[in-house]
Amino acid sequence: MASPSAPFMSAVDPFHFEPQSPPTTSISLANGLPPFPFTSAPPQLPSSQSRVSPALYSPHSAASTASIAQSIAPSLGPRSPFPAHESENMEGILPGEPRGAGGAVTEAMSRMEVEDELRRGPPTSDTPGGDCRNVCIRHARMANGATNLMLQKSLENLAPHEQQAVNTIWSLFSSSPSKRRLLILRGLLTIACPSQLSFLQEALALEMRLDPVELLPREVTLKIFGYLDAISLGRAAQVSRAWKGMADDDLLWRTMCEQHIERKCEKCGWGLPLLGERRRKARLAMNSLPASRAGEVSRGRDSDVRRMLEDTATSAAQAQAEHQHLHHHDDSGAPSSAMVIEPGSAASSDSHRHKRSKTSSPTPSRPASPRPPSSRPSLLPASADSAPVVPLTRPWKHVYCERLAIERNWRRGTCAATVLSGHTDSITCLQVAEDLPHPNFPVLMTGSWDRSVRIWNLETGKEVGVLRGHTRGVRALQFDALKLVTGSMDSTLKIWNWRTGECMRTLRGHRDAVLCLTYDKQLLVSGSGDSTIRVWDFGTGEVYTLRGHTEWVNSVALWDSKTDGCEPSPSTIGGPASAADLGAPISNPEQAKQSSMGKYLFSASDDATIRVWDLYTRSCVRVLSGHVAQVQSLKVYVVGPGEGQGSAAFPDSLLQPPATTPGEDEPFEGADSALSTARPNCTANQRLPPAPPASLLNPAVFTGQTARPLFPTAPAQPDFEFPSDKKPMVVSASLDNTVRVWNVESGQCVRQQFGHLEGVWSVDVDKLRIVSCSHDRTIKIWDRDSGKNLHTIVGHKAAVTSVLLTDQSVISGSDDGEVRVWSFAPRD
Amino acid sequence: MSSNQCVTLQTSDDEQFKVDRDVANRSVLIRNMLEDVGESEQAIPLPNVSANVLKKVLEWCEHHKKDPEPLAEDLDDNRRKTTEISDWDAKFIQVDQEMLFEIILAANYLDIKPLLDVGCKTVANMIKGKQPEEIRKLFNIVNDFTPEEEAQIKKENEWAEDR
Repeated sequence: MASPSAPFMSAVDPFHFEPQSPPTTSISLANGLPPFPFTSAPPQLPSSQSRVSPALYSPHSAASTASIAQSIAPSLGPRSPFPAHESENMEGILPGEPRGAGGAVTEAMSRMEVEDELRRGPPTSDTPGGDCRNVCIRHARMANGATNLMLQKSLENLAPHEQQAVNTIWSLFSSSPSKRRLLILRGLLTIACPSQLSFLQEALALEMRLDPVELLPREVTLKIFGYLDAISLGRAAQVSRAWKGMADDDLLWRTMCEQHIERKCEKCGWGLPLLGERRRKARLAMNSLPASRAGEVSRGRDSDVRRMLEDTATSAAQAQAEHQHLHHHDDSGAPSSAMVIEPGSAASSDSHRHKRSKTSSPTPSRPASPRPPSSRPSLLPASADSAPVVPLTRPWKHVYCERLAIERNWRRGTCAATVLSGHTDSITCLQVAEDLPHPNFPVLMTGSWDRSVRIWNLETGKEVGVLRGHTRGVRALQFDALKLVTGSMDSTLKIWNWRTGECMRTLRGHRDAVLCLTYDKQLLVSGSGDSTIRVWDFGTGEVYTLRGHTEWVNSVALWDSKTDGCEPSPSTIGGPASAADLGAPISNPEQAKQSSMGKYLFSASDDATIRVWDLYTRSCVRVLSGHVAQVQSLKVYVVGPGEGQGSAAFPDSLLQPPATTPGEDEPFEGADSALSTARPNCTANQRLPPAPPASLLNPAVFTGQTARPLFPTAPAQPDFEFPSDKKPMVVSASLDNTVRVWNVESGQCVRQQFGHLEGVWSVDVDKLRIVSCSHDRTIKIWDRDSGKNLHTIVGHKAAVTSVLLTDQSVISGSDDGEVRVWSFAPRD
Repeated sequence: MSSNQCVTLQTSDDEQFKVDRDVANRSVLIRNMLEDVGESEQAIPLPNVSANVLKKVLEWCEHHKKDPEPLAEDLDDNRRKTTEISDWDAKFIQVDQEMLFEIILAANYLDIKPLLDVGCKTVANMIKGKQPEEIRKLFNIVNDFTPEEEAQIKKENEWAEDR
């Protein structure tokens, strides 16, 4: 008999609820319940109720509950008041209540309750105190509020008999069942003067506000905060201690980082850079690693960080699960915030490490890692993992803020220029690598008409090496941790050990200048003034020629549809490309041939076209035409489905794809959507035949300028299919003053970017931006997906011939012989 | 009652609600209970939910009883966390703060994820774009930082103001 009523009473009657001694029975029950993990007294629960975990639920217990209920209230309708409760309550409260502070506190409660009921109207049941849940909510809140103090002081200022009177009124009200409370209130309302009514009105408006952070379970609050943008989270952290504890939660910020780093957030349109490794290196240096190992270790780490950032996307769900788990059972301390720099290394404290591994270190198994395991740096000594390294962790919020600062500079166009002087003639090409195992600084290499390649320490701006050997100007270069390959006007390519300055090999074969080159682990591709492209196989030594262009081949780019690996553009900061380059090429001719399955080559030429080559069949599978002058430069990037096709610029009415003949070849998945966005652009400068033959309706054979079948023998091109979730896009620069963006599958130009006043010499692209440089001496930064010109950078004293984009800088080379580094990093 | 169709729910304040089973099934908690228990005439006790809140929650369940089950992939909504709320839901959730939080708590307890989402988004939208002082005012929160702490925290979050 006593068991159901005792806890009931403590909740219903505030006088029995003292902040220091919350009803312990209900707390222990509450803590056992998975759906409601409480950190303190359970304000939001009716402490009057015993509750059963769903897992414990059984028909049996339900039956017993019901039978108890029925023993009290036989009818199924609303329960009538319990005489027993009533009398107990009265006994407990009425006698005197000589408590000072406690009385004031609880009396404050009762006032709240009054107002609450006033607002709600008559409660549905007539149990004492009405809706007991609300008593609990307010009770817990008010117990800590400053209002108590105020009430207490006011009470103490009264004469003793007045104190007694006020106390009695409060007590009586508090102990009344809802019906009586209501009656009392109605009477009070009738008695009250207008000034008191307006006080009530004001007070009610305030008291009806509740702090969700205090009220809701932690995981629900985190869910709410998960919907906030970074700015709002930053502000939420300033509200109160409890809010700060939630708003600075590391996993919230980790999710925020996942949404923004190296991608454009679908919610807010912001994207943050995946920073180069320099900063982390700087921190590592402070950890006094053995100097000889520093490079290797940091490389291992850095690539781990990079991988982790990639992995986070895939393991988000898992993280979420862990998160909930943690918050569930680990109330003692917030999960240690951790940006794990070297997940594999020994941590100084095992327990710390254990915790970290739960919160944010990547799990060893990465089922959906975007990069195949083989591409991981194989030179990394296994012992690096056990190097005595202080664990480097920092909150994801800091990571986010650091990058936000850089991104803001990008948005505002705030940058600081550094000039690197040394070349004595025009710069033609450049590349940077920021995470080489050695040296311990970012390396920039530049090629020039002065026949040399210069190596720069990008941190200090100092020239650290000159390579000479070509007999005419250097037109192209690419390097990785081991080697440098250069192409020159002297018609040769040279392979260098750039650390020693030794030229290891000279490749001859082109009958005119080598104007461009690119390579991956297996293949070296060079484009030449002799209009051909030569493909050199590092592994087998085979060389073959791709013919098709009718004039100089100015730019080449490799794209492997299997790995999604673009040609290592100059701006690629190590990462996948250089890691892959470190492995040995395949020397077995058959395997080598197989490895080129799914590999494509893009080439840009003075004949105003861009060609797409399938390196497995060694044939041209697509011609992108539209530029009206020489195409000087191109880069490849990859977009997800439905992304980056410039559709926003065109009204829907223009987006009707041409009718395809049913049963006609439909070789390209997603070609329709691509075409639909592409077409309006092309109709601008294209005469569409009124009733084109069916073969022309195949989007594959549409080109920007004229519609002509490219492959009369094999119109279907069954080999030319890309994985549906990533589509290659080409951005090209031409002397027709435009930058164009192409959908490779459809062969359509999806966008032209106007703005340069003279020919565009070079272009680069990353996940967020396009950068282009022109004969007009300017550099323009464009939004990659909208094509909007964001900034124009001026400063070079002559035509800007080469440009590249890193996470926090633009690097450009000019005919004035200078290299300029435009850094968007915040100045400390 | 046709036990196949109807379920009786009993609230913390001992009111009983008879609802269609497909309405009750919006709550994963109740659905699991029903699956465990099988057909039963017994009322299902919901000791964490009071009558006025349950009424509101059932109103939502009734309106959404035909909604398709959320897919498992949808749970991974880290990427596409928009705070958009459908018109009906927006109107439904236009209640005072106390009821809003009660609905959230009930949805959490009853395991009705879409309703929990609506509630959480609503609270998030209330917080969004507000200055700390405005947030305190909105929820009647006492600033419990010392002046020094406040200055420090303001500095830490300076970036949030630097647009």
